[in-house]
Amino acid sequence: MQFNSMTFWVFFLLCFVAYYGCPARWRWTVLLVASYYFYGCWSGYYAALLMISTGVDFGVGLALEKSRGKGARLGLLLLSLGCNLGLLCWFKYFNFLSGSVQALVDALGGTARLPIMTALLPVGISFYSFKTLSYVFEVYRGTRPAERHLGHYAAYVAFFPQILMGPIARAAHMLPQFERAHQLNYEDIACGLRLILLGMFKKLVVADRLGIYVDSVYNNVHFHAESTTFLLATYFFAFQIYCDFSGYSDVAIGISRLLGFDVLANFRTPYFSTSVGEFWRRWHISLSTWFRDYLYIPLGGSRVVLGWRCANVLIVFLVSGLWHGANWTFVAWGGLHGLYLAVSVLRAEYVERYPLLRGWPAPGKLRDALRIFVTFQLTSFAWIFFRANSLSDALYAIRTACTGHLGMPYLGNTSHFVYGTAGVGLLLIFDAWVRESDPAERVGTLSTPLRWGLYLGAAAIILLIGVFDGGQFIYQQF
Amino acid sequence: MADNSSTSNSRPWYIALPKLAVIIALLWATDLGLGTVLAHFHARTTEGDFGGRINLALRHPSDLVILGSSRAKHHYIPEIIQGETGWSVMNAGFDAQTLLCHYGMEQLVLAAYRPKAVVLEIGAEDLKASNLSGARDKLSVLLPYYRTGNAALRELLLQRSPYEYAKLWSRTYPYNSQIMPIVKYTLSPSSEGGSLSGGYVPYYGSDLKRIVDLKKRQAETRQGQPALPFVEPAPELLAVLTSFVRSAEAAGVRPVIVHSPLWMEPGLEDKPQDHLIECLAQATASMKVPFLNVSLAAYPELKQPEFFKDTIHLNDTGAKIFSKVVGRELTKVLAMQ
Repeated sequence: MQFNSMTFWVFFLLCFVAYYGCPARWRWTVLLVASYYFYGCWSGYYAALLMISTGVDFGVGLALEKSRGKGARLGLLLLSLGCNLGLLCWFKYFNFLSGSVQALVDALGGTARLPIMTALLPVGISFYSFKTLSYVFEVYRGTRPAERHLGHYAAYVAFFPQILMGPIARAAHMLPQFERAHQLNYEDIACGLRLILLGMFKKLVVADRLGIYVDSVYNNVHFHAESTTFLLATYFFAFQIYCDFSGYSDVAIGISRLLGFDVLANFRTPYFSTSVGEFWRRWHISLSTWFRDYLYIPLGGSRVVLGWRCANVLIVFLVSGLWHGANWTFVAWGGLHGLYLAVSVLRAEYVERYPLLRGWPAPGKLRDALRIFVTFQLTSFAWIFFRANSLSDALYAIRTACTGHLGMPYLGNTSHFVYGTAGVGLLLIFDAWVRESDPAERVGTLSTPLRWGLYLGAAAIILLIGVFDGGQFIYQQF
Repeated sequence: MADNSSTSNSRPWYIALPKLAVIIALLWATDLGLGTVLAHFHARTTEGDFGGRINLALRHPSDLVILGSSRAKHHYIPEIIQGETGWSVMNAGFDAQTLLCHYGMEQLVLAAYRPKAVVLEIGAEDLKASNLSGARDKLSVLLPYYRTGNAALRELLLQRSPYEYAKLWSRTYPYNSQIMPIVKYTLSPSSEGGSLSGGYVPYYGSDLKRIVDLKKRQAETRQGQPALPFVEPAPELLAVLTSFVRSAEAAGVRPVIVHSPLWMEPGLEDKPQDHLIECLAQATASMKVPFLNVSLAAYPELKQPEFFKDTIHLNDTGAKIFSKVVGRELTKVLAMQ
């Protein structure tokens, strides 16, 4: 059941009616049942794993609160880490490690055959593991009390708008909302529906349309010899993944809002960032802040010497790359971003010491435009590794982009190209207009005719050029 | 931040209802208006693989209608086949289409008029179960004919997705992704050239050498890996083929199944594909319908690399020879029936 399927919307409508039809103190049961049904649609066995993870962390939370000894608390933390990361590693990284070691054994002339696991990766495991871990970390640090209501906790972990692809909402922000008696109000309906419309526009009009072109290039890299083809496919992928993931987040936040929940934004016009550091403050914010709070700061953050600071940044991004997928391409993608940020840390340090390194003093707007352009080029270059099916494909794409023919790029079906480009254009105009504000609130500031014109226009464009038979969301595989 | 408390000063939910009702009414009107405009211009076009070619075939009743994918569109020259058979011919081949669409097209043609015969150009790929889902997606080109089509066509189109019926409430949805070709062929009605040549659109030149080199490189990288497995034709697709044949027969139209030649480079033989073609021959034999396999082995006059655009398509030079061969063979086959 995907957000872009009719089945989901029928399910949501039933859930919405049941939720508000139920007495306020029992609404969490509707959410819990609906969430487990939603998740169980993939497999009952996935739901069982979710139940185990929920049970362990709920128990660990309570035990952490009662326990006073440092050793016992550390033991409980390690138990939660072992359980969550153990499941994650087992399902996500076993074959990656086994395959990598096998390649090494083969290269050394060995004959041993390492086992391969056939079980499928449970959908959303990377997201809900991080969600439950954040709860345990918070209780361990004493920044929030342990949750005493198993039902609320289980509904928080399994909350169906977020379970597949986040946002990785923190317990401190979300759990208290399960205790409140939500009253349906006009603002939540209006903002929720606006976000859903925006998310569906991004997914159906831009992401899935661009995906047709990107797949035709990146799934057959050796069929293409023009550098322009790879440049175009890479820029298109940059917008595809943005619209696919932020579109999902918009729908998830919109649905949550209709159910009375406030979920923090996960994206904030990232392609208008003036540096890679800013990009990460605007892209997949719930994951970036998770890594900042639970990995970067515990490693010493920016309170250590320059060398260690750079190493910490690299470690965080390598882990982030690996979190995305068990493939060397994701490690390379994370490493590249780590490298970008390490260089910017070094640059910031040396600019402070040697102001001459500050660079070209262009006027404010021109300087910002140049920075946005350069940041987009850097992130797009890194996307090559993220999208390529293998490291060798990524290297082939880079080599061809740099040294291939400069002729007309492969366009495939011209309609896809035109619709996709038009979608990107409309999105950029919208993002430039929204910039720092919440898109639903910003639309709400328009006059009624303009606002309604926007709704009708977006709906008409979805009907006219949206891809209705598109596939799953990209981040769902993680 | 959303204010979730019941004591907040937010407006009550029910004031959204009249606004939602007005928006839904406006949406309905927009959809109806857009759909009507698109339907008007769609019906006027006679070019392009989105419906124009269907309109062309429906507007020009012919004795012989050619249905099929790009291999039909770029291989069958009506003028040459007409010269051989003496029948008027319409090429209604569609780029990148599959058996399901050909069946839908047949239903539209049979509802419009009764040709003497219908040729189905079929490929082995058409019978693979793995292509079934993609084939259903591609039926979108027939959606504009949902309201006017017969029961068989409607049933076929509803297979696209579980909620297709609900989606088809919209008047604009059937023209989804078709606005560009509608604009293009409205502004430039014969830009592809098919409407001037009975539906035939030629390919010129040859990319065969480049594609064969690419396939050789791919085969080298695949060395050591297990050979591609043989697959059996999907029963659902064989059932569609049977329906195609039976619908034609029931309407008094003679069906003929044809398989165009494929370029086979020594060392790059595709045995699973040969197996599917054998299965196709067996299936047509059991249906007692003529099957014309225009293979290079059976028709060596076509075995010239300069006749091929790529490994599965003939260029204009090859199409001229192929059309002569098919015209000759059709005369024999149809005379025997």
